[in-house]
Amino acid sequence: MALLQIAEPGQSPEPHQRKLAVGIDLGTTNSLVASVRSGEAATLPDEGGSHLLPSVVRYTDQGVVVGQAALAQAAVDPFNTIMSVKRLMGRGAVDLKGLQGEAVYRFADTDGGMPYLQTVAGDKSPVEISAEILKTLKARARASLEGELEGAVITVPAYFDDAQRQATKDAAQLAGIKVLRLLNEPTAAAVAYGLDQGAEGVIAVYDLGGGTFDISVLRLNKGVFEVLSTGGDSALGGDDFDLALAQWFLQQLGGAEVIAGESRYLTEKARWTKERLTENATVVVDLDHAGQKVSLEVTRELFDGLVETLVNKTVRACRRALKDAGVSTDEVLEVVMVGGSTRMPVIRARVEQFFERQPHIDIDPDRVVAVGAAIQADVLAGNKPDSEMLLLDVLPLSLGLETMGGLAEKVIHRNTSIPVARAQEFTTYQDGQTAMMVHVVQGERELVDDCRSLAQFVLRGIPPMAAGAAKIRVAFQVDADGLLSVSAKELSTGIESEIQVKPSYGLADNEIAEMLKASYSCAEGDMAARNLREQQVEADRLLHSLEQAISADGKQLLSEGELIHLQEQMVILFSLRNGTDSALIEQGVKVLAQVSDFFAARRMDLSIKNALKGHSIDEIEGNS
Amino acid sequence: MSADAAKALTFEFLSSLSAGYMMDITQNYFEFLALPVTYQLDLQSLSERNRELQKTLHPDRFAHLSDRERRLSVQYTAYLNEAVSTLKSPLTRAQYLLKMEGIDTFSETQVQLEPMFLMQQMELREGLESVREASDPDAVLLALQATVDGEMKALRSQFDGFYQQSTPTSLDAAAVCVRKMQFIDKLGREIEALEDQLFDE
Amino acid sequence: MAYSEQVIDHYENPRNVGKMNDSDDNVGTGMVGAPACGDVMRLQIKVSDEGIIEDAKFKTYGCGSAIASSSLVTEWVKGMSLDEAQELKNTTIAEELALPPVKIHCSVLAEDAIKAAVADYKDKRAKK
Ligand SMILES: Nc1ncnc2c1ncn2[C@@H]1O[C@H](COP(=O)(O)OP(=O)(O)O)[C@@H](O)[C@H]1O
Ligand SMILES: [Mg+2]
Repeated sequence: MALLQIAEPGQSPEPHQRKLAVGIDLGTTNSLVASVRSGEAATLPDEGGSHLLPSVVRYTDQGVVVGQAALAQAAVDPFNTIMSVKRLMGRGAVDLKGLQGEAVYRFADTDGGMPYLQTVAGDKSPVEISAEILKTLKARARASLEGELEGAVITVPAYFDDAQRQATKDAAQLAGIKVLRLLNEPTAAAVAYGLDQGAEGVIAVYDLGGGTFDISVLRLNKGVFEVLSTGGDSALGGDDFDLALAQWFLQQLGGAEVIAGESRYLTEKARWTKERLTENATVVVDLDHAGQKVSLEVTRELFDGLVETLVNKTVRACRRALKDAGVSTDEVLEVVMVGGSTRMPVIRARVEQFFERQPHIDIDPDRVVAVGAAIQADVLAGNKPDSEMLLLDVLPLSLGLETMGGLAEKVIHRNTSIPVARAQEFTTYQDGQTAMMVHVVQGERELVDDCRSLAQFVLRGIPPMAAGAAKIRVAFQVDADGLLSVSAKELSTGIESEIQVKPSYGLADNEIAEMLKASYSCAEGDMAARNLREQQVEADRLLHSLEQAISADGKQLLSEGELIHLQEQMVILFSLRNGTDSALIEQGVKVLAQVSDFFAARRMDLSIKNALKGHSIDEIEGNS
Repeated sequence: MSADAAKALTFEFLSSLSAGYMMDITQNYFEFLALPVTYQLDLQSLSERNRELQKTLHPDRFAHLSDRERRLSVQYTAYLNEAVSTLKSPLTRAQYLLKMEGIDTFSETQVQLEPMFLMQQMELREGLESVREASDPDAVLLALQATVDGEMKALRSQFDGFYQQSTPTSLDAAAVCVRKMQFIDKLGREIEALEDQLFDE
Repeated sequence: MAYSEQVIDHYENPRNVGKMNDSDDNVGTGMVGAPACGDVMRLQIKVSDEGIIEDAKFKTYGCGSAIASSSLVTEWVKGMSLDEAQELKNTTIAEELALPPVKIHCSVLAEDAIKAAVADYKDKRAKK
């Protein structure tokens, strides 16, 4: 029995209507979008039939060009054609000095925060540039699926830190995509692979793309993919192999100085050569550089020698990941290869040698990540209520706090299962101190300067007390996407401290709002309409889930009085929802959520009981 | 405060979260996972229970529902993960059992330790420090690792014995075992770290 | 944020690291440990016939703050009488190094170590 008619007649969604959800592989070099249609997960092509979208964005005075067309102009218009922007995500201006490949861009002067790239269309942040790629994929999905997207699963390298993940999520928000989950690329690959092959046991995923390297060790058991450990390098990929070869080219040319546009010319030539070397033992490349024309012969042996240190780096990470997972090489059942760079023979040979087993290359390494993400998106959108599939991830890098003296104190260690929550207590140093600074860092090193700065928090509103008397509990929570949130409370008085989160290298919420606004033609009106729509959707979601909950467990878990009270509150929100005041709806959602929290929690407790029903208390007592 | 101490705090933190109604965590980790209260825990059952509960509690199960459901689910799953990781490791499992008996070894900082034990710890660490100069570093590391493994095993069975006797004196003796385990555990991690470094060079 | 150069300096360039011969009559050895972090600290003093600490050495396996605390203590106690050394308070160490609350126990460890070293020396003397 429906308690409320939420949707207008005629507007009501068909109960069996599938929600359109996609998986997006937002790659350094190439990006893809995939979805599940009639039970099959597949990547979606553009009108021209190509599935891979080069992750290249070109700004012109006429507008933005994304993909192949942008890539074609990269050498001619290097400053306005942004490639490998993924390498800049969540990075600070100071980090960029080390990124030689990207040196061609002109960075706008910033105060050490997020870097902005100067283009003919103005200064652009990496988040905005990535959003362009996402918008293109979204449009592609909309065209080929013919409908509005419910949401997307977007993949990120497992080794991405909080700032990089947040930047990715911000880019999705800018592109108007609801993120169902940020999924680790190797996990996505394991999903595509595991479901395809029906494997059970330990799987190692070796993922070498254009700009990142990831190794993850997972255990697959009855539909549950549990990440045991993860490692890698978020700044190591095929681009570095290109660079190594380009540097050799330069040596052969007598070491002429690298000039912006031309360094890209050389790395493009290097990439061309590298990719041919995958099929051929010898490749001849013609170079026309700084007035010099030469023809060079490159053998596979020579190339393998040039990139040996890079390959060794990845093997070391594999070794460490196995150790962290607590499994030995012979316990690894399958090795899955992901990413375009795993086509290189030298990589395949070394991986096979290390794991002592032939790696799997049967799913197209370019598409496997997007396909896995699509499968997960389909489940998360609620299209497969009976699916057993579940993906359990870990925190890739330790989270810590700066203690005075510049040392980092770890609060949550890497490879801890997420979601996770931990707390740390602080006190004041001075009499009457009412504010306090907290610096959150991520990384494994002992000195704060060697770790990545995530955010600075100011705890305000600490009641004035004698030094050391205040007890401030700072709580960290990492959600299933690997994103951190922080809250603080003064314990002796129970006063909630106000926290200002200033991401070190990201966008503050208001900046995102500004950008969103700017992206609408007649800003105010559109924004308001969009806002209203969003609030209505959230209200519907809450009302709908409450309605379902009441019909499922209301009798068992609610007293008559509680039920009546809940229903009254639902009616109130329902009438607000049909109005036009988005602020009122937002408020109404908050109130209803609050008054029904106890019911949701009771249902959780009930589901725990049900899940453990097979293991009765007798069994417990019998054993102890 | 060490990470372990931070972990101990989590328990209270989860119950003190200000955001709305909180889950019922009057249950201890064993009850929560429907496992018998024992040091000789069956790790297989632990991971099975974990899987079963993850399937009901994990935020992905609530991805299409409202914010509130997702928030609650994050809290429950965080508690589940905490429970599983605490019970999984033999050291934290021992500490947790003691905590249930009212002995908190998670955050204690000032305790008397036997001088002989400390001396031995000092020597083991000096041994570790001189591995780099050894003619065969791997052999020295292996020997150290064997010592650590042996000590740990002995301490575990001692702990279990004392814990099962369950008298105030035997529980104090069990706490002494836990303190020793903490040093051995740290040494074990340092051996691993050095192994990694040597391998990377 | 008040920033302590001191901690880093004592951590990166610890003073008086080393070992003295424990069987010497004029050497006192203090050995302490903190289970929660697995830190071990050895602090030794060499005492003149006049009861003045002539030299001090330490060896600490632990975090930066523990190393800095013990390094600082060995610097301070040189030239002190035994009684003065025994009066040393962890709060003074913590203050000097600007240790945060989560690291206070490192200074406690250093205080315990010097007390233990003095006690060990007195013990040795008494036995003779
Ligand atoms: N046949 C090949 N041989 C060697 N490298 C290749 C080959 N094909 C693609 N690559 C490399 O793969 C990388 C792109 O891989 P991809 O998985 O698309 O990266 P990302 O996920 O980072 O976008 C590039 O560095 C490219 O040069
Ligand atoms: Mg990729």
